[in-house]
Amino acid sequence: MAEFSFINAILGGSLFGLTAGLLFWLNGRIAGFSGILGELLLPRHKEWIWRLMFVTGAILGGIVLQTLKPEVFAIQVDRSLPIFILAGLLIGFGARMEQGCTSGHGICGVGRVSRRSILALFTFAATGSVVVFIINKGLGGAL
Amino acid sequence: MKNYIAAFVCGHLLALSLGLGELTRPDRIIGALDITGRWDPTMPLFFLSAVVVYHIIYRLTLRQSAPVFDHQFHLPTRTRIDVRLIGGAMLFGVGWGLGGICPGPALTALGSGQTTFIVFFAAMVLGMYIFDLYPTIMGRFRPKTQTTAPG
Repeated sequence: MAEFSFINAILGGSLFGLTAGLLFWLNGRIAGFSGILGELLLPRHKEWIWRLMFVTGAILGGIVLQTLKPEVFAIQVDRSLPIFILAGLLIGFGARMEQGCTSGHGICGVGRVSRRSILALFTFAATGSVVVFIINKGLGGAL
Repeated sequence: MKNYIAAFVCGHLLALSLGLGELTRPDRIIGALDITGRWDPTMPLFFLSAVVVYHIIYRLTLRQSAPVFDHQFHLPTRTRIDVRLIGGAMLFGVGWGLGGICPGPALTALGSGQTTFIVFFAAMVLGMYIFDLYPTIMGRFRPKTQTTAPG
């Protein structure tokens, strides 16, 4: 486990909350990554430009991070590529099915005191913890 | 036009905040889920700060009749707890525990250019398509009216 930075966690979280709040105050939108991305990939309605702008801004943010602080993208977990692929499929499928992800349900939904989102957060945190428990205790931490 | 700039700036700042809190690192996520092992409190602290700040801004914003650059708020209308919500969250949780990456960090990490992140993102998009493009299979889980997804 990497050294834990109390300040970075608080600052990062506060900036996330502030920015998600800004998106709601300015555009009246929920800052949910899977919703914005999912709706953009399936252009069922006309409102795709702001979603494309959001996604572009986020990827550019990643490029800035890679330039200034590349260590934030260090992959220090013992997982094979097929496991990452399986994880990606489940994350994508699950997020569309539950209509939200860690940002949309976990932060914005919980911040709005939505019963659905609180339950979603509890559910995916619980199943995630069970999976990590099985891998770490039963399979020696690698998969 | 202004709402597009706002969306761009918000997407950008959200990505930076994920990097600042290091939630772009899979070991941070898996460490937070490892509640019986070497528990990493980074993600819970990040969440707590984000939820508190968001809650305050959300409440203040709702005192306005409309957002600054739009004529209405776009809020999820569903309130029912159903199989779709719980089942989706369970699958999501399994994926989260396996890979330690969720959609926000997955999108942000595209900027790193690392193969693992790109492959993960592609798989995630495929997973989204599998759910969205098979209405016949998933028919009974789909909403009857089209609403904007909350996240």
